[in-house]
Amino acid sequence: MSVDIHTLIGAYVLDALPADERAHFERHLTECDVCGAEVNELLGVAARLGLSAVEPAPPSLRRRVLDAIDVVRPLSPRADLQRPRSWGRRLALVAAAAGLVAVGGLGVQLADRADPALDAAVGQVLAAPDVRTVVLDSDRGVEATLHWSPERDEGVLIAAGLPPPDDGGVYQVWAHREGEPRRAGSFDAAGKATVSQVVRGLRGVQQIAVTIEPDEGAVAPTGPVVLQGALA
Amino acid sequence: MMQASDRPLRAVPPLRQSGDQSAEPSTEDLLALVATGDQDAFAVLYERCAGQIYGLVRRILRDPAQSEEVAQEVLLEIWRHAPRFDPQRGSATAWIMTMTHRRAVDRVRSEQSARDRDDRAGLRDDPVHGIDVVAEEVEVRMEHQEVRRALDSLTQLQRQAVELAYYGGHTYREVAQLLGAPLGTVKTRLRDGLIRLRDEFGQSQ
Repeated sequence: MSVDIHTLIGAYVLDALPADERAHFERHLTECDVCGAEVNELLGVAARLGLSAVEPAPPSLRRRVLDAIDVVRPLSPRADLQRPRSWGRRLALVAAAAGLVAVGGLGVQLADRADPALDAAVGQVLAAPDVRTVVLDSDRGVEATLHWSPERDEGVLIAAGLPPPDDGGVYQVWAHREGEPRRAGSFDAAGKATVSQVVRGLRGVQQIAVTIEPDEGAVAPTGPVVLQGALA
Repeated sequence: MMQASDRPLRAVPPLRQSGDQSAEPSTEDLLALVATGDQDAFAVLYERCAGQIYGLVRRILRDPAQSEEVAQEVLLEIWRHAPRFDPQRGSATAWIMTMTHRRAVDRVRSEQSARDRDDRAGLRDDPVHGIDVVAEEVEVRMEHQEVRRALDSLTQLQRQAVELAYYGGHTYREVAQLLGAPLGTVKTRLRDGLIRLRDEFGQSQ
């Protein structure tokens, strides 16, 4: 058996194993150092193939990713790396690379990030193995993404640049299932550069939309659609 | 507040190891800082790696909108999982590209399985055509001479198998079908093809 399984190294490294054989091989990897060493070496070779495909990423990607990391924390660091968080700190390292990148304004957004319950919920969704990212359409220049996990049946809506709704209204999230809109949470955007909102009950939902409603009591969308996207 | 800059970023040589004497931090150094929750370091890492990640995803998925979504998933996975990066097991770039490839391939297989099955049925009827399409695209868009040279050193079967698996996102069973080759042969060619590439890359360094 072990002779057989060694021959799967190339297919494993190239992600060319079907799911069941991949799982089987990964179990083998936990107990075979020889395969482990060869896999690590050949993954470096495969990475070289990957680098040759480089092309410029769309500018919208940067904004969305940096917005998302603003509301999500990394997994618990290894003990030897742990040190006090000091978000405002400008690293000597970045100074050395001055001009490389614009990071202005981050400090402002960080002030409103401290909500441990939200942070945990967001973290759980993003850590789900089946998490999917859907970029929502906006005709108002709002950068918004829904990260959702079909298995957990919940998602996190992250939007940057939403102005506070007019006249004390709210942003209402709608989940459309077979054409039927259902309320899926509401929020205001007051004083926040980046909004993150947990959305539950997404299984079987084809479409998600955010409208502006006069209050939280709306049972069907009446106001203008600010964001929308297809889940299925 | 720091100044925004329009200056283009320098590309980082592939698989650079830490300990470099250059002014720029290595990708390993950046990951170590990202692991502590350092957003500034992540922004630098983004500038360096986003094009590599997006480019590979797009090579596999083709569709730009889907590619952007998967690239975003990968970048968030890097942010979340940076503390788990183990430099003993390989370079930071290899870790990042491995995650990228895995996610792109998983998306191909889950999302587009129905469409892919149709495509594969078509390819089965006309295997040569399918291979030509992949090979041509790889040729046209290949940016690194070194990678092309290394691929040129493979036998035809090794090269087709590696390209169909890596850039096409096909399982080795599909590769065998597409090439009309026995499963055992394809498994072996994928592995000895990679070993040959490793030797070629080793010589050119």
